Amino acid sequence: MDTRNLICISCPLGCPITVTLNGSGEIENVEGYSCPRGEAYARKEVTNPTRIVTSTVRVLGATKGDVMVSCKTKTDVPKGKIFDVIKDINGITVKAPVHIGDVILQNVAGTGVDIVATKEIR
Amino acid sequence: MSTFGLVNMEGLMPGREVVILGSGDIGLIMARRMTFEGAKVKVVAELLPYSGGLRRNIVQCLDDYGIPLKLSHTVIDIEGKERVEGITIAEVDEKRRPIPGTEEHYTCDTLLLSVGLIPENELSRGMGVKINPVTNGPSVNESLETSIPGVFAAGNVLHVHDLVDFVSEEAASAGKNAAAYVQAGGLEGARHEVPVAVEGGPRYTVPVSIDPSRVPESLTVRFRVGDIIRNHFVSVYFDQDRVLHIKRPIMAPGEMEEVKLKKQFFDERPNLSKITIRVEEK
Repeated sequence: MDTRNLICISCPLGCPITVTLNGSGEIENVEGYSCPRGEAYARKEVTNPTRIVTSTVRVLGATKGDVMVSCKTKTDVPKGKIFDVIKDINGITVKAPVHIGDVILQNVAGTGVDIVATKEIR
Repeated sequence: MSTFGLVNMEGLMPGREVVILGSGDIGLIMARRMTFEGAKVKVVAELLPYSGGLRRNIVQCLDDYGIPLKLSHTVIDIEGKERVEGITIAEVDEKRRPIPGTEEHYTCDTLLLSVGLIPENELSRGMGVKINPVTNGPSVNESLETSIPGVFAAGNVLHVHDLVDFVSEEAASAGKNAAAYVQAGGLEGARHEVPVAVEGGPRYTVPVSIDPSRVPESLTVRFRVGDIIRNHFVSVYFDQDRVLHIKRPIMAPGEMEEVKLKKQFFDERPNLSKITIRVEEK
């Protein structure tokens, strides 16, 4: 038996939700939510929490003096992989020009998700 | 330059051990940003009893990384000469005065102040554009046009937003209206300006006045409340008629609200003299 306490992020209400897991990690009970979105959030957050990761990477040869280009994971990645993603991102440098949506790193941290640019750099 | 600018634009880190004062969205996102870049964010202190940031940001920028948020706390002392070496925070009472005996000391090399954004309106002021003292941005009509005809405003220069999506949306409508203004060679005729008033919670609205003849199919009116309000309704009155009545389980200063006014509301009431956005119990 294991309990997890969460604060729902689906709306500003911020319901405190308690999820009870059995010995094999399956959800036994979810309580404290006040709408279906809250229950869905809690179930996902406990079984498969994911996040979009945003950061920056160094860019070379930009004509307007930019030294960094903003980027993000194209889709959400497992929460437990965030720091692996950051480590991979911090290890790369890209060359200008860069366009919004360009893949600047494939399969980041073995997640199967690409890192894409979110800024135009000429 | 701001810390955000240093980190995100220049790729520079101002320090390694950080305390943040202020828990608006910028303070929260900065905590995660500094963590990603290898810093240790020790605590975020917030003077008010609630965070001014989005719930999502509290969870995903602080809780995810085990960064404590201390509500009703402020910085009372900063140590160090050439460089910050430590700070002391204390809890505050309801009058926001530090409570003796609640002091906590943190060693750190950086104190980030994230204590509110103010729209940058030197340009607008210099032109003589009328500024709304609540938002510190221009007072605009339904077309997002300022008190000077042909000058339009949108985004954080108009009022500080939480989400860039709404900045983009506002910018698109200001751009569309500006283009229409140019194409018409300036708009002619006296404007019929219906004022938008607030009661019971909202601190301001954007726009502050509406010309019914220039309303699109749906006009978005945005506002913020001044305090956390639970289980109330947002109502829109056209003179005495209640045209909208929306239940809101919770509203918070950190989350911008909006109502959409249909053109039909205006068409049905040709003698409209006042619009009121009222937060009420039922």
